[in-house]
Amino acid sequence: MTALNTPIAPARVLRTIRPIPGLDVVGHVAVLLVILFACLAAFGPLIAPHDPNAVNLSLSYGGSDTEHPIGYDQQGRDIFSRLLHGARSSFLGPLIIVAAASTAGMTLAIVGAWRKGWIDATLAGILDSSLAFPGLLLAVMVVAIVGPGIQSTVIALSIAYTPYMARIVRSAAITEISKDYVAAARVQGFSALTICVRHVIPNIMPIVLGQAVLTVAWATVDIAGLSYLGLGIQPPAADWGIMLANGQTGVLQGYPMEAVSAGLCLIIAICSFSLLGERISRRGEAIAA
Amino acid sequence: MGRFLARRIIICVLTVAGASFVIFASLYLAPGDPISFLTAGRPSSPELRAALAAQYHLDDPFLHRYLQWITDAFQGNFGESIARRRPVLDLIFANLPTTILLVIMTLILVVVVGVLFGGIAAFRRGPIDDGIMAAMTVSLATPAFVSSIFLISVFAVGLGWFPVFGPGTDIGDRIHHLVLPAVALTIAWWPVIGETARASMREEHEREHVETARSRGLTPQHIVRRHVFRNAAIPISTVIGLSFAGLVAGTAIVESAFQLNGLGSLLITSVTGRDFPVAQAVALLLVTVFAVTNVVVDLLYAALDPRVQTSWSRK
Repeated sequence: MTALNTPIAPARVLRTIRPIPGLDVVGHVAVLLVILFACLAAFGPLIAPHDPNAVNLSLSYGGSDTEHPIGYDQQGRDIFSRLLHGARSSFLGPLIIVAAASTAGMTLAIVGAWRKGWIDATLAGILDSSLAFPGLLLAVMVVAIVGPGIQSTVIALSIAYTPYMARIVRSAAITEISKDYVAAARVQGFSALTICVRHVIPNIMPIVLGQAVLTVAWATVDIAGLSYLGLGIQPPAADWGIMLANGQTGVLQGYPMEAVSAGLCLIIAICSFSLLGERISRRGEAIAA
Repeated sequence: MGRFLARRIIICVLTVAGASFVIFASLYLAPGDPISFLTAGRPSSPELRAALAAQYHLDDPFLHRYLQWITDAFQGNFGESIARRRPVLDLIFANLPTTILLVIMTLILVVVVGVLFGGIAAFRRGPIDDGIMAAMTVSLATPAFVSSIFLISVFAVGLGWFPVFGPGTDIGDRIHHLVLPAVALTIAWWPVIGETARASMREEHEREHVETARSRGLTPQHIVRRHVFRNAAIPISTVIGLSFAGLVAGTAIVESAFQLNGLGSLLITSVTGRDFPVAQAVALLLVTVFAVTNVVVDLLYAALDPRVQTSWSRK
């Protein structure tokens, strides 16, 4: 019981948080912001002070007050609560895209790099030519067939991002597999699956992780863009892309708060993910070399 | 070189063939029968249904249909728009000028801004370099539709310098209408050129031939113009080519934000308005432009720089 009663000095907690070695100041800010956005996506809807879809037309474009720090949108909904709810829908899609594209891209690339020969050549050819197909265009075509919605756009973008991931993993895996320890493990009779899962994948993981964080940034742009165009997440859901589309009407009438706040959230989020992704990638390349 | 050329062209043809097949076959992946999908719940007369069946050769075998469709497409016959009852080709020609003008204006801006600031960052180490690098990061992270809305808010609604929407009438008016869309695209794309310009100019600047030129007492202006910039121009022009392809796809979202009558906005309105023949035609056109540009860039790269490794395994 004594442990519970002992007050924890704030200074002691702070001392346990140490800077990450080899990461510059900008990188630390990016890490903190990424953690902040992850928390917002997880808990944003829980801490939102108001119902994001509570319409009150008499408060249309109302200014900010103590309970509504950013004010109201056209339909009199609380912008701050909509931003908090929007964090989840804006990141959930990109997260699924990254998970799917990383898994698929890594599997294809490692199978190709391990088997070499015609399998690798065919895979590389297909991946190379599919890079010519813009992801956004693929998503738009999928929407043309199955109709607007978040599921179809997430599936389309997962397919579109797989070649980018596969291309980077492939060159890393080729270098890794050509190293002596892999040959040694093969001679000892370990199976291809064991060597890849136990040794190759952990060693190229920093490169995969860096690319994955970068992909979060790009996929967030794409998903928000599709939602802005009315092809992704559908209104009245609170989503940053939808808020930009709604906010455009406000901009024309001289009430830019909704569009500006959603736009700034997107810019800061994309900035921090791409800064962090770049740093992890650079470090991964330095380790691999 | 000959093998490299042949290989790139074969990959390009295969890409367009594959993509066109996917675009064609997507109609049959849609739930329900093709005609009810194409009419999308609109009241359809027997004449319209017969016209659609003929346009899509629905009575023929599947592969035959594809060959018919792709042959028609290469002869400029994309059929008729279902929503607007006009030949798709007419719609494409009506929307092409805006997109071409927008892409040209953006490319000029992107190259001027990118090379200028990339160059300044390359030669001025310290705070100026850091500032330009930070600007590039933020700029690159700003999606074109976000900057579109910010630009509309400040320069069209607030200051009233530029029109809010629409494509304009005569050429001067058109350019005036396209300034903000071009700036929005430039914000997203100049860092791509800028980063390459900075890296390649800095690399050239540290090479031995520049050192030699400097020791011979040549002026810094002369060295930058004749020795640094000429060599750095190779990677810069490659990236310009690649951004061109990306720009063409990226115009869709900006054209929609500014309600311009371009190819990209035509694609989006045809998708939201369930006008499938138009969506198919524009998608095919964009993919072809994309694939051809990639090949042209590769060939230019190989032509400009004889050291380039002419195999697909390049990075």
